[in-house]
Amino acid sequence: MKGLSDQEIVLLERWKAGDERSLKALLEPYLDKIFAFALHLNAGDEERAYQVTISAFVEILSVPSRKEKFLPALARKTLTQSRKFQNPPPGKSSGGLKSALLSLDFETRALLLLRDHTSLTYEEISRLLQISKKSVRIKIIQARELLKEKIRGFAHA
Amino acid sequence: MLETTAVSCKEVRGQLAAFLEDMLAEDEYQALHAHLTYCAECAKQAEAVDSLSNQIRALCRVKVPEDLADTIVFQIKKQPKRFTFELSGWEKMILMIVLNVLIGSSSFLFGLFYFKSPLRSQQSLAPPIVSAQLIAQRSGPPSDAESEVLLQALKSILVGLGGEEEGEIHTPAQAVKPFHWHLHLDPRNRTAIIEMKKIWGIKTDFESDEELVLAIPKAHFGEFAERVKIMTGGLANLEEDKLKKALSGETIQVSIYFTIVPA
Repeated sequence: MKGLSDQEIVLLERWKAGDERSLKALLEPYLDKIFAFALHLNAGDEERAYQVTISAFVEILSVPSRKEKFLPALARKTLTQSRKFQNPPPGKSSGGLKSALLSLDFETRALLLLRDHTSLTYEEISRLLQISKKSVRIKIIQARELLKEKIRGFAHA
Repeated sequence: MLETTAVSCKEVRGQLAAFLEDMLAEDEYQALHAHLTYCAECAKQAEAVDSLSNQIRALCRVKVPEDLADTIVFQIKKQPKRFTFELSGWEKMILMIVLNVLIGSSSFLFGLFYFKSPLRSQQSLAPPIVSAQLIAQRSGPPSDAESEVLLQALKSILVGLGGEEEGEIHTPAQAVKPFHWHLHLDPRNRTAIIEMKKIWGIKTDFESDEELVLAIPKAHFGEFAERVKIMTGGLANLEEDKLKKALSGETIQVSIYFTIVPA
């Protein structure tokens, strides 16, 4: 399993030596991906997404591991943190992809976001969700089908 | 050129995502590509999946709060630094072996010095040994209460050797050999016995093919040692089959018999 890139290892070492800018450089490439992931997992609640994102970064970067890529690790923490909250029931929908996505159950939404938004590989998702790669593949196909149905449903409503 | 095999619409639909993400093997990719060139329905599906994934990506392009990075840096700086010491699989294995050896040898040395220490003889073992002297001064087999005192002293010796009491204990009235113990021995324990002989100066005397008598000198156990001999059984076997097993890493079981021999 490939862990951090060489560049990230250098940044990590610099940060260990006290260089704060290296820490910022280390986290910035993942900031938008993780925040958007948290936002859509938490039904578009920006304040909650903000807190979840901070929590995920703090947990991962306080005890950084060279052996695990940051993105899957951050996605795992974001998922765990977001699961703690109860999603509010979907309000009146304005239709479209966003409404359709938010109307999916948490796990289905998470799966689609992990693949299509964070671009994790099937293997990474499989490890993260602790299911087989085959199951990941099947569930993603089913999730896409479901999302398409939802979009069609909103369009005809 | 790769040979392509025909695939069904069902198979194609199942692999569309992987096809679009360029995750198929070359032959699978070619087969799917060939199918999409003549199957309009599947081609439409492929387009839809591709479009959906792109739409999700576009939807997730959101504005990140400006202070998010700074807040994270501030929060991380507040945390105590806990950089971990990471090891590869091989390094972990070597470290485990080294730790095991260190723990094993330090426990063994601790046991040896602890039992050899005059302080230990005088303090922890003193009450059972004093009582054992009384046993030895008596003629005939000890009472149950006296046997229990002696048993505790012997148990201390066994535990010091890394032994583990397992079997039943026969009282003197029930057996000629009053204390019947099972001691699990592995090569390390056998080393312990050898060391015990060497350091404590225990004399050994084969009484038969099956039994070995260990006599503990007075210097270590006072009057108790003059009066009592510890008789062990099964060591003859240990020299043969069991020793081979022990050396190959198996844990073997040896019966140890104790008997009180009148002075």
